[in-house]
Amino acid sequence: MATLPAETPRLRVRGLCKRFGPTLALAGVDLEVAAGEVHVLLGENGAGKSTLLGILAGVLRPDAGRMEHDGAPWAPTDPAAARHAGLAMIHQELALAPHLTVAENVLLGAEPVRGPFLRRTAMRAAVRDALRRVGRPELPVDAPVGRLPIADRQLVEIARAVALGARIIVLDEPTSSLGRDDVEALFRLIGELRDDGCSVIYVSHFLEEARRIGDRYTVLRDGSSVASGALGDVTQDELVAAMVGREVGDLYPRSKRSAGEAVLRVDGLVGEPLPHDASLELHRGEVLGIAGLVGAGRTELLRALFGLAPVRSGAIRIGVHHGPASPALRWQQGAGMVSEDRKGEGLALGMSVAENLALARLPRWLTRSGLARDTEPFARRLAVRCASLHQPVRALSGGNQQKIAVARLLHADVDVLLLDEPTRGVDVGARAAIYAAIDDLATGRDGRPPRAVLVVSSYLPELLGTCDRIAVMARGRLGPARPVATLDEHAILLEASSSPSR
Amino acid sequence: MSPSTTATVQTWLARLGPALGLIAVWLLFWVLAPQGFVAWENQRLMLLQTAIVGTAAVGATLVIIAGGIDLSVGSAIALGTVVVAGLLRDGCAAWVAGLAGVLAGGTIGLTIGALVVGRVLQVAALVPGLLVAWVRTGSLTLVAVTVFATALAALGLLAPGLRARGRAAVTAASLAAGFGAGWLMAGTAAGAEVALGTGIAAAGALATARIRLRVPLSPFIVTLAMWGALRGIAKGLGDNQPVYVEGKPWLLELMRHGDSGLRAVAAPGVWLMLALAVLAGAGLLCTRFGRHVVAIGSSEQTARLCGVPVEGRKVAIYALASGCAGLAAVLQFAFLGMGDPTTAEGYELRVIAAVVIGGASLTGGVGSIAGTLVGALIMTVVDNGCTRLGLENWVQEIVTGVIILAAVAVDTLRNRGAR
Repeated sequence: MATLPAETPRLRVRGLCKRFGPTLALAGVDLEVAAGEVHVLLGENGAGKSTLLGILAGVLRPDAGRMEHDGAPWAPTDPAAARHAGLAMIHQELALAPHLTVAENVLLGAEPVRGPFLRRTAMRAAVRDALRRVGRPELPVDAPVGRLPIADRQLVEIARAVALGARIIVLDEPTSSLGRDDVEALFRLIGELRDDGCSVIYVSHFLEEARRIGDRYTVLRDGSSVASGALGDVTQDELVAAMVGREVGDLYPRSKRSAGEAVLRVDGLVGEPLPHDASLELHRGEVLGIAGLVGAGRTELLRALFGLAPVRSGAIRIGVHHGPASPALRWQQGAGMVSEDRKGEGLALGMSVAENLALARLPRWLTRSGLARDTEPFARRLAVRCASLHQPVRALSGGNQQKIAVARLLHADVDVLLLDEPTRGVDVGARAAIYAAIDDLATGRDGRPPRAVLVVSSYLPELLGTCDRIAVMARGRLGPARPVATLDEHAILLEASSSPSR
Repeated sequence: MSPSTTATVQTWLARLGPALGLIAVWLLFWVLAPQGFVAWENQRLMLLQTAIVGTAAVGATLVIIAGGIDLSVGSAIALGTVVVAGLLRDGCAAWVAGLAGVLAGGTIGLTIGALVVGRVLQVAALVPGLLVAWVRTGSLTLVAVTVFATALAALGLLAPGLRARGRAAVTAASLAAGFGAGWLMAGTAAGAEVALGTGIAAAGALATARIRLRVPLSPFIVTLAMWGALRGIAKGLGDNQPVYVEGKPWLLELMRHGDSGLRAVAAPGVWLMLALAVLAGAGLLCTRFGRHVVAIGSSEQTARLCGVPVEGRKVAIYALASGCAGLAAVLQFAFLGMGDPTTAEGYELRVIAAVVIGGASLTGGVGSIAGTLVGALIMTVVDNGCTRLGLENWVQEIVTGVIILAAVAVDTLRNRGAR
């Protein structure tokens, strides 16, 4: 079904660049999508997919580069403009108003009116037509969307795209929350949309899925498009190689470590709603990594361990303490956690550097200067750059903020460190400081007994560089932990993106 | 000027902003020179007029810094005056009545806090005991005594980390307290009924203590409900009319000026407010509890991640804040010389206005006790000055509204760079 490039493509992107402060999110992306094709966009987390989609949909402005839609310049000023010009974006988190009805959602912002009044009859007719075209004419147009199952809600979004006459439909990780049957139905629908002449941009981590549904592909890596072509001409291994394509530098110090006694043991942990099943054993003097795709349940596992999310069943033992516990108790038991959500949860942005650093172990009575004296060595160990320890954390760069979140665990002097995406959105300098701190802790170079570190990361080079063992989580299930010497990015990515066996 | 000097100047301006506003307003009225505005007598009067709202606002500052809100302050003050006057009328010692006023506030705060953190079931479980006390004694005053004793029992039974022996001791103490208070007020039979009610309520608390169901309610809703309910209770307790007190208990002196010494400078109530403010200000800056209050308001999720016992802290914050409202009620009683279930209407909004003019943010994490006092003073100066200029009440109300808007607009403008 792939169309010849000689034809004017539905969408053509050339040399797109986008910079966020010091980081170059897109460093020259080319993308060409023909009319009536399903184009798969591949890339690891952080490769620049979200930024590219944001620019296409008018949420972000590019710094450089050209975009054309059917040969005419494409420069949407906001998402509404992009939508009206025929591009519909369907995100993993659906953008529906749960209290409004199906009909109201489908035509939200494009309601047929006569004067100030809604034309309910015309509205229902238009929506029924759209639902028929997405193959679900039986969906109740007057039911609140919040009462529908997830798969049907997704169809409502697609119906919205169809009703507004979208010619480019972008689906971002559409199957991650769907069951098998719903995935099949979605694939049939995508095929019909393509046959109607729609262009579909399909973003997914699941390679088998991508190969089944897609006609052509583009791979992004480190903000550039590194490969594209027809999916029929490429093997799964070649795709993985294109996505990975870099080598682990010596950003990652790894001293000689020796694993001691087990300080964290997890047996058959089931959380609410994830993970489905996780068992692991973490030893003193060891760094254990958990790899997996976004949404696989890695964050949920850490949160359940730390008492931030409910545990449905399974056993947890930290040190000599059994069972689930509140975060307050976890700190007392000698465990600490760094959150993946630095701004929302990791740090209290309005509070000072010293207060954030000491928040998990504040003395009953304190003074400003005493707190500064107490926290200063830890800020120095992670090379936190700030004008003063009394500065609000908000004023610091992302990297320095993250160093504070990590330094908090050093200040609290914990034995078990749970790190969720410890270097997300962080510059190379800060990453190096954090990796060095992890290595120091695991070897006990700071004169304390070696600590145990559990790292969740979507950045594979980081896991391969810092960890002693790595376990892969896929669709809520944690695989066995293997020594890092026996693994490479290719093997991990295959295990993480293999289709579920249910 | 170097950037750091500019920054320092800006920080100081931010810190002094409300104070500068106060000086500006004061100078304005000085220039307009209404009758007797600058007289020392009038300065003293303005301090006195600030004491009640100021005292309650100290507590409200904690609540607002922690990201909450309390709309029940005015009703709590009214209820407090009725409790104090009722006890004095029934022959209690003045210090007992005063303490009961503060504790009434604290009990209200415990209830608000428990509802905000979602312990709806446990609060509901206390109700049967209180109903039994009401039906069997028929006296709202004795029910109020039962509420105190029950609050003591519930606090002990629901607080985490207490061992079985501690719980038994707390229950016994609350039963004894209930019996003792009832006996003092209305004899042995009444004491027994109060103890019975307390016992049933304590059993309810014990039965539900381990149930983990939580239904967190927004503080706006909880205190809105309290705003109505507490005034209803005050009216019920006072039988829909003011409660008059015979004689001249010394509590009334709290809001009277003396002839010499400190009392000549300001009434005891003003000194109480200042002492409370110093205590709260120091507590906010120099204790773990105080920093936890700020952390919860700044980012509740971060506080929870860092092991701050968020639920317990919130209950304590509301209890302290309503305790301040209870103290304000004692002052209000001293000011009026009687208990009045219809008094202090709208004070909750004056209190919030004082906190906001003082630089606090309703989204939490920001605010200061000193700023709040200055905010309360600004409103008093405006009221007083307008009155002396012969302007009518409605003018004052409009001016106060404008000041609130201006204070927040200036604050937002100043903070724009930092966000």
